[in-house]
Amino acid sequence: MSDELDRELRTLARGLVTRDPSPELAARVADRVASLPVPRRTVGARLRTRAGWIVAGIVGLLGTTLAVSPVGATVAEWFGFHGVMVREDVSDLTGDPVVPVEPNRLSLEEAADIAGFRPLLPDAIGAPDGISARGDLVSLSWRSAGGTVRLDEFRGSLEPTFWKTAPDSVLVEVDDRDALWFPTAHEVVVVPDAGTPQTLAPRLAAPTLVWLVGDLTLRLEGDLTLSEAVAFAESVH
Amino acid sequence: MRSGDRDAYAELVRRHAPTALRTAVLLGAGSDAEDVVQEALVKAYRSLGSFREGAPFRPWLLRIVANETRNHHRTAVRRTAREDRATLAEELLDPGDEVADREQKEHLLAAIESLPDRLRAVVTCRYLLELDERETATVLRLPKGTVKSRLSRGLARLREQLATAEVGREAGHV
Repeated sequence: MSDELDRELRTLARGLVTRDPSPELAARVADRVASLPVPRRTVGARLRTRAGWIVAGIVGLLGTTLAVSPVGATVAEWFGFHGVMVREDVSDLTGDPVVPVEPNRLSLEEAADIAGFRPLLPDAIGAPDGISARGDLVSLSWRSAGGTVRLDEFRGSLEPTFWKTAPDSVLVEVDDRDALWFPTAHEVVVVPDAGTPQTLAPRLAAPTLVWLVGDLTLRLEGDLTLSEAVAFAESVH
Repeated sequence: MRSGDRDAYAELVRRHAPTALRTAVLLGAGSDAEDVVQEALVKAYRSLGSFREGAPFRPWLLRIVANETRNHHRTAVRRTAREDRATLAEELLDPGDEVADREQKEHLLAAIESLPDRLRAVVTCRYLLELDERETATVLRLPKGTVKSRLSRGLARLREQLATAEVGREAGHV
């Protein structure tokens, strides 16, 4: 009986027809919002969570002021990319991005033991040269004549692992699902075990694609075009 | 305002407006649902500064929508419950459904609508909006334990009502 009601409710929910919002809705909201001041994150909201604490810590580290507009800071959350925070800004770092090679060569099983999940592999390229795992993050890298490509995988949580400062990020699709593409060099800070002060130094990252597979967040970095990155991403399973 | 922010918020509106509208309709905003959503989206923008970083955005927004729907209820001239129900079924059910399917759905929808407000809101969020228990708790500003208990009470009532209606219909056919 319980199953039957459950099923009926789900069938009802799936079959409900809701009208689409009128095209004027977005325009009216945009008009009203345009005349309002940019909302600033309150100190209380910043300090309420450990994630907020990390923002303060990292921003201190970068030597910039905490002028993080919540609109920019939460952009990743709107799109559901747990564990990745994006700040829309130009980085202070200059030079050419160098994609770090993973020095370790763990087996997939060893990495899975440390991280608590089995890392996914792409079909588009052979076995990785380097595999490391720290906290709940697994990193794979491939070296080739064209440069290094790396793939970071972690189980998305509310606490961000990657903090990106990028002037431009683009919403794209991988397997018909939303993905974020950072076409240009951008600053990235990695917090391997979110919530601890163990933070790697900020570095300049190469073009990067971020997408989700199940509850894993994947991050591909390398000197790739968008179509190469998407082809790589779609071969990961 | 930075243009990037304006674009980002426009994108947010584009993505979340359909769910927000569905929420307002199902929680009873009726034909004013779009106005309610517009108000909620502007309020959400104003409150972005207090949005807890790292928290999921959708339940946070839907909570504002739910609240705005409640406010609207308080001020609007209430139609009778019967009119509301008729409108809801008319608005939400697919006209292409088979007659038997449609009748079954109408009964279920009517049964949900006749639940006491507190139970109806929980059943609506959990089942019709397909939120999980934690999201339901956020949207309705309730402790998770309360969501669980109201959900089980709500489902028990639905079972009773549907069983009674079933007996009634069978008796009517005989």
